[in-house]
Amino acid sequence: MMAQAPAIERLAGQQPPAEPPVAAKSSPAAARAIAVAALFAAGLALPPLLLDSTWNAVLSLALIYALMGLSVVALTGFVGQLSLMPATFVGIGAYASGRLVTSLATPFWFAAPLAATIAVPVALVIGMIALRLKGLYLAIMTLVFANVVEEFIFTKPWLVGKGRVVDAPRPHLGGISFASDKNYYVLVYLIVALFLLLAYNVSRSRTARACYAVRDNEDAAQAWGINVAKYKLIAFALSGFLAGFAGALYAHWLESVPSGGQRPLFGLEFSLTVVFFTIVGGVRSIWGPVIGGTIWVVLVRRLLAGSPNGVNIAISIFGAVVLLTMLYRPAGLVAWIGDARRKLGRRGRWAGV
Amino acid sequence: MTLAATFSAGLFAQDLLNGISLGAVFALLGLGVVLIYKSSGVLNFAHGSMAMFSTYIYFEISRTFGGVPVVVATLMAVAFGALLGAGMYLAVFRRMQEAGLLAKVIASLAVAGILQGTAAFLWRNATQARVPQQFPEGSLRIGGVGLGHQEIGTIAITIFVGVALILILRHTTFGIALRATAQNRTAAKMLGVRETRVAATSWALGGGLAALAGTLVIPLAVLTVYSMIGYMVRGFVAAVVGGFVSLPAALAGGFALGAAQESLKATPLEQLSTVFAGLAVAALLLARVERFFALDQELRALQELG
Repeated sequence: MMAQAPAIERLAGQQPPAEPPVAAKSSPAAARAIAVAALFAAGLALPPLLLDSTWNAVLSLALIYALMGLSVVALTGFVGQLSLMPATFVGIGAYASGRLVTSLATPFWFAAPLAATIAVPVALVIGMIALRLKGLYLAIMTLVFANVVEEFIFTKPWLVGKGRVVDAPRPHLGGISFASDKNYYVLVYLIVALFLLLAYNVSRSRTARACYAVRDNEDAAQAWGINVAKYKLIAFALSGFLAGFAGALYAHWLESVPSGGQRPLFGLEFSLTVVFFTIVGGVRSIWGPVIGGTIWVVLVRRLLAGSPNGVNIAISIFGAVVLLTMLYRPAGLVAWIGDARRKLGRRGRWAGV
Repeated sequence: MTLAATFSAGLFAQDLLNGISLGAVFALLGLGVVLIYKSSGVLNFAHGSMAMFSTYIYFEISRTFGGVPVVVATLMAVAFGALLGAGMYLAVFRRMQEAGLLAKVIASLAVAGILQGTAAFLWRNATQARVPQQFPEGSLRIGGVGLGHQEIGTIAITIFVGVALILILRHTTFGIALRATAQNRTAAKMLGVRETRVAATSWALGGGLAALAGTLVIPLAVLTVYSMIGYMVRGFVAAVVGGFVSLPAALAGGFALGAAQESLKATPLEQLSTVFAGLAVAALLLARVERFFALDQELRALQELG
């Protein structure tokens, strides 16, 4: 929740709220580290021990969605570029990983990073276009590109096979199989936690501060000697990699990835879903997509699971929430948590937690 | 395979005609996108959803009241689309006048999500609906090529509506007020232009055009909550041709896109047909096509926006 700088607030034409003085770090760093470690261990162990397979599958999907949302944070949150094609990169990662595993007998451990790497050059092409096109025009460009890839690439037999389904079996490591939903949850949890840790460190780095400067005022950043093009391309590459990796995890979560038909899987709807839940959670924070993604997946897969129109009802609800968020609280749900923490901090308890 | 072997003049002419009728739909959508953008600076990503929702209204009217003539049903759907457009502006985008571009884009995407979800819920028993044609079945054949009455009607209506809109913008008080708003909001306001009224009217026109496009094209296909998305994307391309400000260019752009895209099907470059819109929009955007249509002031306004 560092650097809640004004761009998104500015997007909605509001002044950023004055940042109240941050509560002094009263608790020592060690206590904080223990708390984080305990939370990490709880997240790793509790769902497989306490919950049934269905819940484990739902929670692993929530984490995969969080990783997709992280790719939106890397782009929209860090350098202020809106892409309407996150699902396209998810699709690239998904089909690539599935094909690498089933057709080329690559182990998952190589296939998933490789699939994510395949998405990077594609993202860089979009990034290079984005250097010339700003805001509105970039959004249109990504929308049209997403439509083209969905209709032209994701339907091709050389990619998705004649049966139009790419198989993506769950991986195993030596004697340990990740085939069951509980084991797969553990794997996804570890991978996504690693990415979140990386993202957390990146978000506090010099690179990220340069990115925030680009996001908040490109001309000013340029004037300060920041290489705007470089940081935009870094953000695009990172975003493509994260979305591609999420796609690989998603493919092996699904176990078989369909294509084409009346309702394309990696189309505009999926992209909108990812953008929506990230904005609802908070597009500036790496925890935003975790919160937003979890709410989305639990809503669609559990609360509305019985309804044939679950996804559409959820899209309506999220659309309404996004609208209210844009009109009244552009920083997303994460901001409320920040507020709550500050209020508690002012009372002197829980300070620094 | 040689060029000559795969190319047939008759097929080409037929595809070209089909393309022009498809292009009419792109043009109708593009005109609405331009009107909405000019009046309020919103690139309306909900345009396809508005068209889809209004077409479901048309479907519902023709299903529930079997006796209603199709013309009346179509006009009711268009009226609904106009109300929907004006309502969206008054409820959402009027409050976002000062907001940045991305906020407006995201808000319009949110509206699209709401409309899509609501339609999918309301018509959950009609996920693949058939709607009646406005024009009689059958086609007009001249020489080796023919075109259905519905397609011919769509082309004629589009040209009529497009020319009427261009004249309205050029000569009426509303049109002048709208153009003034697009060029300089503050100055227009100071000169007494009622921004809300002008923008709401433009949104109503845009919504009506979207409804018209949907009700005219969907009878030839199947109505689902997703069926207007591809058309909307190509409507955006038509709007891009006019740099989001020029109605005549958007009208011509829609027809040209449809004709080019479909006529490619009869050539050895058939594979390019689906991606043509993407290639076209990339070329147009990178060439900064808006320079050729927008006045200096409009260009400045555009730059301020994005």
